Order: sequence, then structure tokens, then C-alpha cells
Amino acid sequence: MLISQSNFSKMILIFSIQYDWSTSCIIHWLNSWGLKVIRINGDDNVYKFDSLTDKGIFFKNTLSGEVVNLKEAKACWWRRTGIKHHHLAQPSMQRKLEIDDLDLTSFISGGETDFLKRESKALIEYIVQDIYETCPRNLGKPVFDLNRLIVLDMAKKIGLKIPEYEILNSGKDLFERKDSFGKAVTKAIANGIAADVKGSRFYSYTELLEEEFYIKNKNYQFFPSLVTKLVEKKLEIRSFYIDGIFYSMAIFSQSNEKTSIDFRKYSNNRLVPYQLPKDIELKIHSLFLQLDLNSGSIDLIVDSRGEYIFLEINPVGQFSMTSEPCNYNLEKIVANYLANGINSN
Amino acid sequence: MELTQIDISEERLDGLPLFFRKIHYNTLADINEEYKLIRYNHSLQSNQMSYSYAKREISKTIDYSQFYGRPDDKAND
Repeated sequence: MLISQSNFSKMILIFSIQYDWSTSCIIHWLNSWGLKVIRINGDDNVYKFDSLTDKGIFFKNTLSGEVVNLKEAKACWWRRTGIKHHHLAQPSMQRKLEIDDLDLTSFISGGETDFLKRESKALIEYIVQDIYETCPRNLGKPVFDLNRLIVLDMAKKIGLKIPEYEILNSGKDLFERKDSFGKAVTKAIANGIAADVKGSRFYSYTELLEEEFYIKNKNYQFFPSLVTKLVEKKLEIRSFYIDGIFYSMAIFSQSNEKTSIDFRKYSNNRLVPYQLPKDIELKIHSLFLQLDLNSGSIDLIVDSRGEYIFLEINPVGQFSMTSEPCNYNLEKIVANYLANGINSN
Repeated sequence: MELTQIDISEERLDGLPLFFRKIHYNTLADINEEYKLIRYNHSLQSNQMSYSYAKREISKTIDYSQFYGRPDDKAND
């Protein structure tokens, strides 16, 4: 593949996080084609805000001293997070603000009256919007989370099948639904638990509601919780979508009891390339257009009757787990899209 | 490493969302051992771990001085 000489004068901007392997793989491809890449990680301090003028938005690499104009990017990949407060704050910034006898520290360090954070938020909002709207090519957008329930309703309106669900907050209501709903699972409405505490990592998964749970918890109230009718799975599909094209993978999670409800609990399922039916691809494509997204990963279930049940879209687009087992070479495809706007190998 | 499961129900689940009823966890490798495998990579413009998979074997450093001082230690020769 030939890269034109003019590409050397433009660069590719990537918003990501440290240790993101997919980002590193894409940068390897872009570097091998002679393209300059600026990577701003939301969780490190390598780049710091320098200035914003009518000539551009300038950030400084604190290791090399180089000042870069983010508005010169010919393409931007909104992989993760993006610019945060610490990219703007000075390292020497005082942590206390005490003037005469007044302790005004709350004005600068957390809480409702942190005016510095409000300044950050407003400036970051402007910077992000300006880059997104003026960059010639964006992959993804500065939205890294979607509301699961809103997307499910949108999917249903487009004609995709979704799992039946209810939001309940009482053990009594849960018990009364037991027979009409049949087997049910619980999962978080947002992202669930994923956190490190004192040397251990904690997770929550989609879990089946057991018979005895209904009985034991009949008299208790819960925080409003998502309860979904269990779909009898034949297999699961994880698909990566990039600008109208789908790269899909089937996960045979039913072959292992540990993964029959949530395939993430164990990592040894059979994974194979898969072709979604055209009508399903068209509907999901329509959903991406409505969400104003051009990339992301999609989770679906194929039920025991062969019906496709839509579960969710992740706008971050986890594609390595699909790329490697299916030999899709998605890292090169994504790099090619950023470099040339071409959606292929 | 296998996951350990915490089950929360009845009074302890009262007021919490239902997805809190089963929480899984595993012990992490000592972060200081992990940091020894992390390097800043200038071309990738990021700290980089030694390998892509979180679940992998890493070397542990051993403080041999904790074994000195026993009567049969060759170090005492």
C-alpha cells in the first residue's frame, strides 16, 4: 500500500489510556507507514495543555518538550476517556487555599464547590467539541458509554429483538413475577463492578436468579434493579462494527457451564468467524446511524429458535478479542481507516 | 487464578442493586512486581506492560537475605 508524501505533514490523534494493547498495535501500523501519531492517555501526565489560540489547540509533551497542535490532526480516534482535569492542572498547584483566617480549600479540591474542576470541565468540553467537529476524520466519538436501556429501546423500535426486562425494587414484586417471567437474570443497568480494593480485583457478572433467592428475599427492598428474562442461548455473537462493515465472531459459551450465563467468567470457549444475516446487519447499521457512531462492538445472542437477540453496543469497540481468533487483522483495518479513510485490509 | 465468590442476600442486600448479590474477586500480583515489567515506550507514547494478556505468568523477585543466618547456609562459609 502506498502512502502519499503529503501524509507526512499531517498527524493522527489518538485519545486512549495507558496499557491499551489495541492502541499500541494501531500505532505500530501507523508508525510503519511513516505517519506521526499523538497519543494522549487519560490516565497519565505525558501531555499537558499549553495554550489555545486562533491558530490551534496546543499541548506539550512533557518528556520531549515538543508542542503539538491538536487541530492539525487529519484523523482522530476516540478510543478512551480523552482529556482530563490533570492535563490542564499545573503539577505545582497548591492543595490548600487559606487566606487570613478563611479556609477556602474546598474551592480547589473536590466536592460541589470545586471551581477549578468546573473550569476544567468547561474548557475540556470546548476542546473536545472543537476537535471532533473540525477533524476531517473521526473514528468513534467522545462518548465512551451508552445508556443500556435507551439503546435497547432504540433497537426495539428499529425492529431488533431484545430481551424482555423490568426494573424492580422489591422482593415482593420479584417473587410475584417469578412464574410469569420464568427464569431470569440480573445485570447492572450501567457497567457493574470492576474495581481494585486492597490487592484484589472485584467483578460482577450477569447472574441467574435462583429459586431460593426469590423466597429468601421476598420481604426486602432493593435499589431499582434490571431483571431480564433468561434467553435460552444457542450461541453468542460479538461483532465489531466500523463504518458500515461488520466483523463478527461466534462464542460457543453453552459448551461450558461456567460460561453459559456470562461468557466472561472463563476464557476457554470456542471462538469462530461468523456472518450475521444481512437484515440484522442493516438494522444494527441503522442503530449506529441513529446513535451517530461509526464504530463499536455489538453483543447479540442467537437463541434456541435461531432468533437474533440484541443485547448492547459498546462504543469503545473491543476488537482484539474478535480480531485474533478470527484472523480479521482489525488492528490494520482500524489503522488503515485512520490513515486513509479506507475500510479494508 | 480461580475467582472467589461473595454472596450477599437478605438484610445485607437491603437497599442495594441486585447485581451486588454475587461479587467475584481474585488476588492480584503485587503491583510492585508488575511495575518492574512496565516501561515507557517513546514510539507508543505510553507506559507499556510486558505482554497483552492480563492473566499471565510473571517473574517474582526473591529477597535471598531472608534465607541467610541459618547454620547450614553456604553464605556463612
